[in-house]
Amino acid sequence: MMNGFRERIRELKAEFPMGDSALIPSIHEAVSRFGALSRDVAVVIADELGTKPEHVEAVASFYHLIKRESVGRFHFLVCTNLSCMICGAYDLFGWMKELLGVEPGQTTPDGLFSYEEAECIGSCDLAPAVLLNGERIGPLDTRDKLKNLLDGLRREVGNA
Amino acid sequence: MPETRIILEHAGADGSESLSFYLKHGGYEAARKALSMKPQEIIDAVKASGLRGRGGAAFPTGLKWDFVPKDDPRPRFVIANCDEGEPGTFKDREIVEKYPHLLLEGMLIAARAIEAHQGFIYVRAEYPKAQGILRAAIAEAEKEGFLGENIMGTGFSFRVKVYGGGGAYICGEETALIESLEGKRGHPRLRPPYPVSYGVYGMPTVVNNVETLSNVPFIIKNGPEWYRAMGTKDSTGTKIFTVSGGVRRPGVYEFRFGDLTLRELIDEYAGGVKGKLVGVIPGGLSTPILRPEELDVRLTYEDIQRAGSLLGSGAVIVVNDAVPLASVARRSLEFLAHESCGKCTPCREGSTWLARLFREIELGHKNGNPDRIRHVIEGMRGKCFCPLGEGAVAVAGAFINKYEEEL
Repeated sequence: MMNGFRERIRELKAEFPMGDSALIPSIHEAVSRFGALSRDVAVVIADELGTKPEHVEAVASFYHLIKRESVGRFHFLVCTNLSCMICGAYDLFGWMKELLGVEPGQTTPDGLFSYEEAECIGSCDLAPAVLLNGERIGPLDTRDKLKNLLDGLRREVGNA
Repeated sequence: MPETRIILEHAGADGSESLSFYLKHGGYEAARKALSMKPQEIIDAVKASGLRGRGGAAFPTGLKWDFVPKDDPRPRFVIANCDEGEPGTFKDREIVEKYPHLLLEGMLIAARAIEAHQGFIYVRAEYPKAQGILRAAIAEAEKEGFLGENIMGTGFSFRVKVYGGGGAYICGEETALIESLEGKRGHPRLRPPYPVSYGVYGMPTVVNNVETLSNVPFIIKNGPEWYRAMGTKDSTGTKIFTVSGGVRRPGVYEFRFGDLTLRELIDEYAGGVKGKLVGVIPGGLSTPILRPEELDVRLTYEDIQRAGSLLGSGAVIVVNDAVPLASVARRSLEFLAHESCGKCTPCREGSTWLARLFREIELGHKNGNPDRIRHVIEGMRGKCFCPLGEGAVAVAGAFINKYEEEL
């Protein structure tokens, strides 16, 4: 598993005029393969790019969307910035908590759902909006709309 | 006054993201023309057009290109800034998702102008779809000879790479973006030297906003006089506005500068205010709020500046009475505190204190807090390392000075 990952980092490194630029792409690659940037993975990245694992982690920790702990299969970024807030984002955040029964940052026991509060996701025309695994969804301005969305995702998993 | 859609004319039509659609609508003709021009002729045309940066700073684009050292053997780079983190802004998303070749053509012309052979598009982590569309567009353009080696048989080479950010507002600031592109934490650099002489990898680098670069093909194709004829003397061309918040029809609108006022944009295009109007943030979260009686201002850089705010990225956030104004103020400062990179003390500490003090006001504890906010503002003003902290000063000042009674 790690061999393929090492190979990929080498490829990324070759794509840039300077190998340092491959660091953040490598971190993204790690998160997409392994779900989060663990210490073990940081050690591998550091080894391939000729830096220290602490540097890899220091860079990763600067960026809010780089996951350092694993999340649910469906991860929601719930925007509460101005336009979403004005359109009811705090209600949406409350429904999220109520319907999923877990705190932000936690994952439901079945491993399906997690959510966190986010800064502007560039979806203000869909406010209140969320990013669901990178996909823009909105406006989620009623509890029913959120409930239907969650039910649909559960069905999707059930049918798979 | 109807919309004047130039950049967005075809965006969103069926298949508008494809190369074949783009070619059918005159795509890459401007680049073909630019590749037959001398680099300085391109720079002069862009200078003569009056085009200014659309990301928020409004710096003259042609002048920026002209600052790239001429007799300098170092490789040069063109970077399209698609970090678009300014809350309320989603214009670049519209361009890159629906009409990506327009940006690529603009980058190619910029590359020819400064003689660069490598470009990057720095796309925020929140836009994975845009990243995919851009990668596909680049592959298509390379395959058909509009990017890559020996472009359109002219011998000119230019490659473009998409670089995905990690979720940090500050990386929209061009030197922080460059640091991030070099695999570091996104801390702004001390300027000068400016990126045009010492940018990515220490090489001459032009960083332009996506919308800015998307204007360039039209300037080259139709000429700077055509372009200058739109707008005002200091604000030429068109501007894309994104309207959101407490309005009935949030969305994306493109107008010639000065064709209408902020109030007309909200009432006649965005469907009017939902509920009671409290204020309007005209250029994205980090621009000062305007009161309801201040909205009869023409949409140009200079008019909005005279009104005491900034056109910024053109992100109009309408604040109504759906939430208390104190909450809007607190959330604004909380955002800036959250996104402060931590490099300089006035911004890191100051923005955090401002957020806390507005939180106190939100909770109903007003006693003395407006003055404490003014005190913190004076401690920050002119002392922050980059525009993020100075933005916090302006934003907090507007809330407290224009709305002290209502908070």
